[in-house]
Amino acid sequence: MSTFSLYRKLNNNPVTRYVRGRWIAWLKRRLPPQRQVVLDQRRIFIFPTWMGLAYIATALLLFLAGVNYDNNLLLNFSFFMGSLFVVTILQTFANLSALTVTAGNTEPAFAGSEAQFNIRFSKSKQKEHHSIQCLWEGYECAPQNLLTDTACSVEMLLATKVRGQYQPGRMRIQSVYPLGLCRAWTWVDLNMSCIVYPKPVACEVSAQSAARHADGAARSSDGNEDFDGLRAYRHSDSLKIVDWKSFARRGTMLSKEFHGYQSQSIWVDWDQMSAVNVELKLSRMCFLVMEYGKTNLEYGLILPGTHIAPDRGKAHQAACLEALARY
Amino acid sequence: MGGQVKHQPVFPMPRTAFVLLVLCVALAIMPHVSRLPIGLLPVFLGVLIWRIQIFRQRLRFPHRLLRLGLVMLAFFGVVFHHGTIFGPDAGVSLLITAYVFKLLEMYTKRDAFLIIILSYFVLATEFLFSFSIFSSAYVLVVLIFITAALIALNQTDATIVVWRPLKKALILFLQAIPLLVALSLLFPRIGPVWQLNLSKGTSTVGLSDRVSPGDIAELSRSDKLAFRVEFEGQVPDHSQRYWRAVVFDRFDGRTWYAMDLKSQSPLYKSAMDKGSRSIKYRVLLNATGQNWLITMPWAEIDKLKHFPTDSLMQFYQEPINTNLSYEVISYPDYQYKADKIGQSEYQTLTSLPGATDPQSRRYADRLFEQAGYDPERYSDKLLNVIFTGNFVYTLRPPRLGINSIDDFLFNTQKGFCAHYAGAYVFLMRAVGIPARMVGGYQGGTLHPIGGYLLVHQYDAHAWAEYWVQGKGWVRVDPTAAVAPSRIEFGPLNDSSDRSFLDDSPLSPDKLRNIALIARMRLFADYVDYLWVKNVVSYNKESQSDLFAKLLGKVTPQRIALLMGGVGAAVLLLMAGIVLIDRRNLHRLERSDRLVLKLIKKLDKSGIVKEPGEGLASFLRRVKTRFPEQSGNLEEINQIVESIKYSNSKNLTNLTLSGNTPDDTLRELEKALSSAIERFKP
Repeated sequence: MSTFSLYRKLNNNPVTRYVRGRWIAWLKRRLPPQRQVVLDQRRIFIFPTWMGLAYIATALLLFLAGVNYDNNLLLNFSFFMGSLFVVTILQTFANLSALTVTAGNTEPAFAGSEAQFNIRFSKSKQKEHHSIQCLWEGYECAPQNLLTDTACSVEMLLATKVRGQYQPGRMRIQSVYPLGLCRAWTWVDLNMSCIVYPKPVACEVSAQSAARHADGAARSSDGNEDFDGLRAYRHSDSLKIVDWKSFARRGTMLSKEFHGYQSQSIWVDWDQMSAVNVELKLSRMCFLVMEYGKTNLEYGLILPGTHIAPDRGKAHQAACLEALARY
Repeated sequence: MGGQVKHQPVFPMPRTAFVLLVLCVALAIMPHVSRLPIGLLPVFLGVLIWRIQIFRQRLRFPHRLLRLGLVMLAFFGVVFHHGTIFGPDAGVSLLITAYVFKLLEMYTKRDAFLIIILSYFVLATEFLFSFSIFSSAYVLVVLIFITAALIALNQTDATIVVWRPLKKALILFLQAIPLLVALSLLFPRIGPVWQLNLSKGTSTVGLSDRVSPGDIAELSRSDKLAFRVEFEGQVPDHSQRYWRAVVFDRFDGRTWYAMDLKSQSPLYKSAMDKGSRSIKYRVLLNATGQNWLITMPWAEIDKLKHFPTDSLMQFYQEPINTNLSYEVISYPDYQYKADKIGQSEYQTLTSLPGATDPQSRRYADRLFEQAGYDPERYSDKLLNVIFTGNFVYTLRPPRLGINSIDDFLFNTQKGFCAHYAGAYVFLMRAVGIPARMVGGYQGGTLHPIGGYLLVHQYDAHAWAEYWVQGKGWVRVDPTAAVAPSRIEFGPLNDSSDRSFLDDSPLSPDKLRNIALIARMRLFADYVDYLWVKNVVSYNKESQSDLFAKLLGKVTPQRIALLMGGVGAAVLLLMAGIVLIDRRNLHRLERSDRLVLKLIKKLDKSGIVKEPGEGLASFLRRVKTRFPEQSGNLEEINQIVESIKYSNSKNLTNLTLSGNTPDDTLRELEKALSSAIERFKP
């Protein structure tokens, strides 16, 4: 606890804040964001670990013993430990260098859950990279070994807090291989981001839409027999409702329309949300969008300044959710 | 924080790491086994097995109290065995105890790391006890194992087999060697500027600072090496090689006591007449635990801080606990204090205890009278008359009674060098001639390959010196009168008594007649000799010699330049070895390089390849300039195309040989090379 509070105290210290600000600015200048990064001596930092310091202390102790006893072999033993340390600095660096880190795709998330960021490690044929670790916003991936495979992808699950465009800070890629005496690391900014939707908060599906929903459900229970007519195929239409017979005859794709589904569309309307709090409103709207998305109903979204016409399908749902996220 | 961290989760150690870790614990302890209390060995073995069973999930970690009890027991065992907790012997035993028991509380990666650090430490302590090339080689091998354990601890690929980290450790080891060599040659040797006086506490075989011949029923002599000598020029005869170490001047009736540094005055340089003859040599002394430097008198020691004293002993500044080498010039025909000796010195060197050995005293008086009160004639008489009588040289003398000299001279008449030297000094002092007993080594055997002299502990010897007006101190060896062959040929060839090696039943000297083994022993000694001479004894002096050889004139600036230069060069070399050979990401294929060569060739003769021009069209253009070589150019183009664009199956078809794709590729490259060679623009 005490170390934690000390840490917080240090964090709030204006000097620390200033230093950190300068540090981040310096990093940004030195290592600008890139979608793909090849780690090289410009990017890699290296420093002894605690174990490395203990190792050096041991070597030093043996050196003193060697001097005290005038014992040349003990001296040489300590010199060997020192030389090995220098080698391990180079080796630890070599283990990380020439590794390529590439930004992959990201998966959107709901606020409060984890957003998935995919990154990719790849290497040239001649090199091996052992025990590469990636730390990012508190998430630590399992150590990756690139020995025979030339590439591997890593899923980073980053915790999200607020809705909107989420751009995490720099990730740290590090390794202590081979001896664990030095840590080589780098700060990488792959310019990755993802959309964070509002956290869905359950609410009653509103009376009006429930009635329509019930209506639609009643009709849809009749099945596809309630055929209403044909209209031009839209990209979001399911292939199941394409009139394949007419496609065969005329060569144009037409979708069947069923009257129960399209006659009355549902609106997820900002003004109809009961809550006062903006975030809660958005959360409930998000819940509704998710709910309607599960059905086959067409629904639209009304936000102040944004109006998304009723439709259905994954793309439509994503568009609605993004609009909610960005509000 | 929460209380759930009380039982730390055990670090899931990779199997490879565990195997290597247990292995290096066992290997690090191995050389110390003979110095540990014997009762601890089964305990250590038990702990190792227990830890292995924990890893195999057959057993649990022992309870804290049980562990504590075991540690305490082992601790008291060590203290009881050594009688102290100070000094290297006891210290290393305690260290090893803690080290082994740490295995039983290895939960985290940090614990495992601590064990590895301790392994380095325990391994290094071997150098407190042994400096031979064989233990050094052993340490080297274990060093690789420990490093491999450290690697295995830090790798996460569970599929890796044991030899992979070992191989990696070997690579790291080899990469560390350039810097190691540079450091060990050039790192400034400060010498012991401070002296943490930790009592040495190790038992070394060798000369002791007191001798009581009457109490020794059996002189055990080891075949351990005492020192080596490299002569410059002629090696003196066996009978002339008296290696002087210590002077015993005080006798209490049973025991002779060595003189220490404090009780004597420094050498009177003006009283030393060195004589004309000189012998130059270098002594490579093994650890003795005493601070006596061993030389042939009178000796001047070069480049070594030491204190020559009035008794002609040479003191080093501290007990010699490591190998020490020094250059010596000896003047065998020296005379010291030829004219007179001081009153107090005369008194000490003629003093005898109270009223012991009356028979001997009376006998001495009578003999001195017969010799006409002439010290030299008296001494000759002692040697020729008495000691040639019924006296027997043996290493298993009977114990002597209260009047030990009387008992020896007139009763038992059996003894070894110290008996004869002691009795002689007694008889000299009894008539008022200053005399003293000298301890050291006599003889030594020449190494047939190395040409250096080997002096073993069984060459230890005691003789006497007396002072006579006009000659100063004169060396007398009463043993030579009794057993001349001992002095002429050494103890091994002395047929009169071969019993002294019986106490070491496996002594290799028993096998010295078996030619092959003898030769192997000699060779092993030669290798060890080179090791000790060049590595173990490397010190401040050898370093300044090296600097002088490398720099010509030794100035601080030049030394700094040398160190900086070599340091930078070595670091660059290491960086090169580690980093560059792996970064050949853009290395050209061989065929590309060959084509590049062709393009350069043409460039010189004025046909320049346009940027963006393909090789085929470029070669077509070349063909118009060299129509007579168009066949060759066509071939070049075809080969390049088949290397570049064929898959391996086609390659095989093309050359119609049943080779592997690699072989085929190499063949094609060869053909390309020769085609390009043939092309003459």
